[in-house]
Amino acid sequence: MGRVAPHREAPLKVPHKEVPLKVSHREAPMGWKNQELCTLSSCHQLWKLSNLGCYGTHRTVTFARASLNCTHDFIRVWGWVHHQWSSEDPQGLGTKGFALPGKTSNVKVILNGGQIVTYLRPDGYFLFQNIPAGTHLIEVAAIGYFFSPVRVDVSARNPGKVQAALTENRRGLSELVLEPLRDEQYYEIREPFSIMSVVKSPMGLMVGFMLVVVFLMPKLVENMDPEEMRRAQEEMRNQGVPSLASLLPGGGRN
Amino acid sequence: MAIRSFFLFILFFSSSISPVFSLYEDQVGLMDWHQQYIGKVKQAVFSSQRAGRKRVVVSTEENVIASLDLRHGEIFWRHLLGADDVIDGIDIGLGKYVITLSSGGSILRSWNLPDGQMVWESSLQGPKHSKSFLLVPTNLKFDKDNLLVVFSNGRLHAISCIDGEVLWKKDFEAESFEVQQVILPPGSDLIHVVGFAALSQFEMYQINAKNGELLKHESASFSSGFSGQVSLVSTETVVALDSTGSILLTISFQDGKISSQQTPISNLVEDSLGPAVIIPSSVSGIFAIKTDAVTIFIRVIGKGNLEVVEKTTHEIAVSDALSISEDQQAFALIQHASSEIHLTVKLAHDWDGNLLKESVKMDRQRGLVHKVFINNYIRTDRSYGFRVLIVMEDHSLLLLQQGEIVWSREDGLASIIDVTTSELPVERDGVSVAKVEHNLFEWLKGHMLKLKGTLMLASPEDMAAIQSMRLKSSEKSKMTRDHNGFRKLLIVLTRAGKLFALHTGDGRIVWSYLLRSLHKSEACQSPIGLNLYQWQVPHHHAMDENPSVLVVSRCGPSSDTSGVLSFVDTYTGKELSSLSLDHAVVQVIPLPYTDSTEQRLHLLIDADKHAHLYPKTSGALSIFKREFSNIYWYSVEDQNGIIKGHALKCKCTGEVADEFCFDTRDLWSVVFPSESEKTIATVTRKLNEVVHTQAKVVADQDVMYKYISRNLLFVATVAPKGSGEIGSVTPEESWLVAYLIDTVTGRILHRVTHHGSQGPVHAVFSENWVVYHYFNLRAHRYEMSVIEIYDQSRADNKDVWKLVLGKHNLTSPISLFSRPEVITKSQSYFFTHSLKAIAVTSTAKGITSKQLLLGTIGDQVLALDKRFLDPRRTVNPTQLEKEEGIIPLTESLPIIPQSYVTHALRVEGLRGIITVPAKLESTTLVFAHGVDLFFTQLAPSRTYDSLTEDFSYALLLITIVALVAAIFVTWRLSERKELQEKWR
Repeated sequence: MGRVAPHREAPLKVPHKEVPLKVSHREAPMGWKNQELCTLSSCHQLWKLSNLGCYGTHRTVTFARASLNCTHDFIRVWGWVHHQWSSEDPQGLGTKGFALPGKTSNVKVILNGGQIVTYLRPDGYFLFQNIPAGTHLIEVAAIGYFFSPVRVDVSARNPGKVQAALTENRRGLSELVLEPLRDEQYYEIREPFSIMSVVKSPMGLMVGFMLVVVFLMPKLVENMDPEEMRRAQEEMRNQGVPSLASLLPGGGRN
Repeated sequence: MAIRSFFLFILFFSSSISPVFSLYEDQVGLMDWHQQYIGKVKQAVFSSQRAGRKRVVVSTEENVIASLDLRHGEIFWRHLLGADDVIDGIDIGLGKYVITLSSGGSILRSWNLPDGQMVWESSLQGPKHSKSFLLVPTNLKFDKDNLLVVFSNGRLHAISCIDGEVLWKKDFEAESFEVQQVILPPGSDLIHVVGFAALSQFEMYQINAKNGELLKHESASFSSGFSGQVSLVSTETVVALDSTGSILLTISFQDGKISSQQTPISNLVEDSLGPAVIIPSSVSGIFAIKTDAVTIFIRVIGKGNLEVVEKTTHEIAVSDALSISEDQQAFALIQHASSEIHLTVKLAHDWDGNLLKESVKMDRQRGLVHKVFINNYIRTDRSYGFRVLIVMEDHSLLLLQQGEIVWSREDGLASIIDVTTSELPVERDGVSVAKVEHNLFEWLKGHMLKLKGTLMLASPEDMAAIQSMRLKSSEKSKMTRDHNGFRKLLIVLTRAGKLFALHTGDGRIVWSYLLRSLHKSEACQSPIGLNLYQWQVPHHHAMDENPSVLVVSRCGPSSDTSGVLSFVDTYTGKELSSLSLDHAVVQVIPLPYTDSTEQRLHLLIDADKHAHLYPKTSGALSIFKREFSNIYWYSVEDQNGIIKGHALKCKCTGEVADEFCFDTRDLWSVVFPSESEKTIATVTRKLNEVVHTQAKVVADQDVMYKYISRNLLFVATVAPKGSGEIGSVTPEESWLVAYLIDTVTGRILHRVTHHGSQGPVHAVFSENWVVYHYFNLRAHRYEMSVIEIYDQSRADNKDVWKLVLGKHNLTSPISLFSRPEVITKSQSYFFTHSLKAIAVTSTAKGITSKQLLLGTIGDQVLALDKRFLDPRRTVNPTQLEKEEGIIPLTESLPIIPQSYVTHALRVEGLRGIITVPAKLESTTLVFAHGVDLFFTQLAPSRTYDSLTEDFSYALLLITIVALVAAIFVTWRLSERKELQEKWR
């Protein structure tokens, strides 16, 4: 399904084409604001701290993708899983054919092959807390979608500096927004009934061959010049090709 | 060139690259079945919503939270938390949020009750580790917002129910303070935190619930100390036991003043009983203590006067209190009688009067009642009715209402330890398993129903009955052996110590048996099941015997406790016999020999390295003596990084001597340097694997001989630093070493180092190859590598004559010192997902090409053709190689969605994948288990030996008819033509 642009969560009512960059404007999820997040008063500060893309206007500070704990010991990583199967998709883009039983409630986000498992909030956000510095792997398990694992580097020297890249195509992410690379069809699509499929099947071929032998062969033999035919028969006799008839008892009489 | 043509024949089968396993959506459920479970319930909370569907929210020992339908026991929604995310408490807030506290009280989550969507998540830190409590008071309100009170990690939090915001917090930093209870007296704004400090000090804190302010702190010291838990008998009184377990302390802290009273248990009960423990319960005014044999219920009257209300020797389970009106609390009590259980519901202040007394017949195979949860409903006549949810010893969950079992769930199947299979009986008159055959009346009834169905007279219920009958009698779920070997019994051992037999056709439980030998007893304190082995598989001379399985279990968690063996008949599900061993069971080695009754010989190695032979019969002993010098095995000592090879020496000497005990000797040992290598995975070939061809024809008409040995062991070691989680180590200080070791000689046949890689390693060994999955830190991706090992000593045998007359590996000298001439080929590829399990398909004769079955982190099972892991893959294969079926080399292994064998399903909490060959060569049976169970049939090279399900018989018939018609038409035509010829 590739990258789809609509930004459902945009806090500003910016018309779609005026969004300057290919990232979405999102606020830090509600409810996390009081959980010991460093209060970042300006976009500039965030830029300095985490060296990440920070895209905001003078009115709204929008967090980019990593926020840091004030203790500087542990980092929390939060991101957003782009789930187009959400029913609230305003544009209705990409929702066709995704009538999946699984909703966001069944999407798991997994850190380091199962070390921490978390679920998505209704708006698609996820959060990992107490992540030590180092390189980590985030995987998303969602039935029906193929997500690339994401490599997340949490810097030890420079707390708050977080880099992310898709491991499948080594594409760097300016923002921890995870999107499925493609959707997965687990079933073969049944071809509708057609005459060609019957003809192509072994049975069809058999019938076809039989028809050819029965109706076309005599015609071919008929169209042959009788002279030529006799010559061919003579040749065969001369070469002494043992015919099945001559081998059979009683067949030798002719 | 018979062999070569045969290879071409195989290649013909395996020549298509397109996904071999693929399914149409309408074929789901034809070959496969999927069952969802939750595990043993730890805690249950009933949703008290008036409207809507009645539901109960449960948390389980498998870290599942689930919302169940109270009417039928079906799962509305379910979430499996991470393995370390153990659930400490659940509750329902504001009537619409499920609140869970997990990970030792450090993660608090809220889920939407109707659909299970997570609403918010909070992380709670604290100064030190402590018990954790989750309380959802109904009366504490902050402008429309309910408060949650959580005590965890030595800190008391008040949290908003709507968005998980921490409103205030209070630390309890006193080093030795151990919290025992957090109490919210109804109708007040106070929180009481009580606990012990320094083992003999009782502490009470009174806190303002509005702002977390400490109002009062009182303490009192008790010279005799405390032991175990406390029981809350009212909001201002707790009962504790002193350190000897013989004196009851009643401590009340009314108005912030601590007063106490001591009552020796011997004052209450005449005969001395030994040390007691308090059974945690929350029924006001009553508590229970339990000694070895007796459970005593004690009532607290006034200020600390105790009175025994009941003494019982029956096994008993008590529920928490349920308040049914302002000042009335009810609780449920379950007592066991021989084959039934007695349920009584009493009011807390009135022991002698029963609100409800019922007896329910209970299947003995469910064992004892472990937990009871009570819920009430209002009957049509406005009186109270009660329903109880009970958790049994076998981990099953049952709902009792009006003296009946409304529904039951076999949640023991969520924790399978081991799996084996058993054949079904051969179809013969009077042969069947358990209670499948029905009597004449039922047979007649069935036919009448069918007749009704055909005459269109059947009601919907009749139709359902006919449908279920059809399913039961349909080919796939019959209780007899079938020609293709698709129908088998899956025998599974669960953590609860129960054996289940599942039918492969539809996954139903044929029989279940709670192992008596796994019951707690004097000699065996905490028995645990270990493994299942096929004990007797009759086929030739013991046709009339029923097959049986061997269950090996142990009396405790450590490996030197004595073992227990039980033998269970797989047709009837009855225990044939059980043996309490006087030695430990460290290792069980099924030997490839069977005695005259087809009982397989097993060698059990105990902690003192003696080998014990089972069955203990003279016949078995004579067979064993014959093969005495051919028996080798190995052992892995994980901590020391040593792998040792062993062989038998002689009869046991010393006091344990009996005929079936043997001394062993060490043959060799491989010691890995502990500072640089730590063993993390060892894998061998499956014992019952069949290899069809020893040679492999490669493109240029060359032959390569597989090095096939039953005694190959794959070992993976990592740098000790890199044995932790991904990301805990840099690529420079981490490496992974893979070894191939011959377990008879101890020789390392191959060793390869992957620099910058780390575990976890998942590996599978089959034929002459091993495939392993690990993490590459440099690329930061998972990788899979394949090692294939070939026998070079026979490489000269290029054609049939040389094969017959030439060098054979039997003629080459076998010696410890001769180095086997082997070459290995290996290759590595990237793979996207983390793995949870890995297996390989196995077929009856080993002719069919193989597929790897990968249990991914998303709990799906992916089938990957082994040809993708062929070390001979190159970027540009030559024409010859292409003909041979070699796929051009790619950087990563493809994930084709159609080749997920679990299609759109998840095997939640996947732990293992088992493959069993069917009799039909093309087909293998796959069973994946975790919290869920999934079973399907796989044909790795398509079903070349039978017609597929979607084969159109109609088309075949039409073709035949068309051909016959054509024959007649042409015959007539030719006759006519001949006649014309003759007239001419």
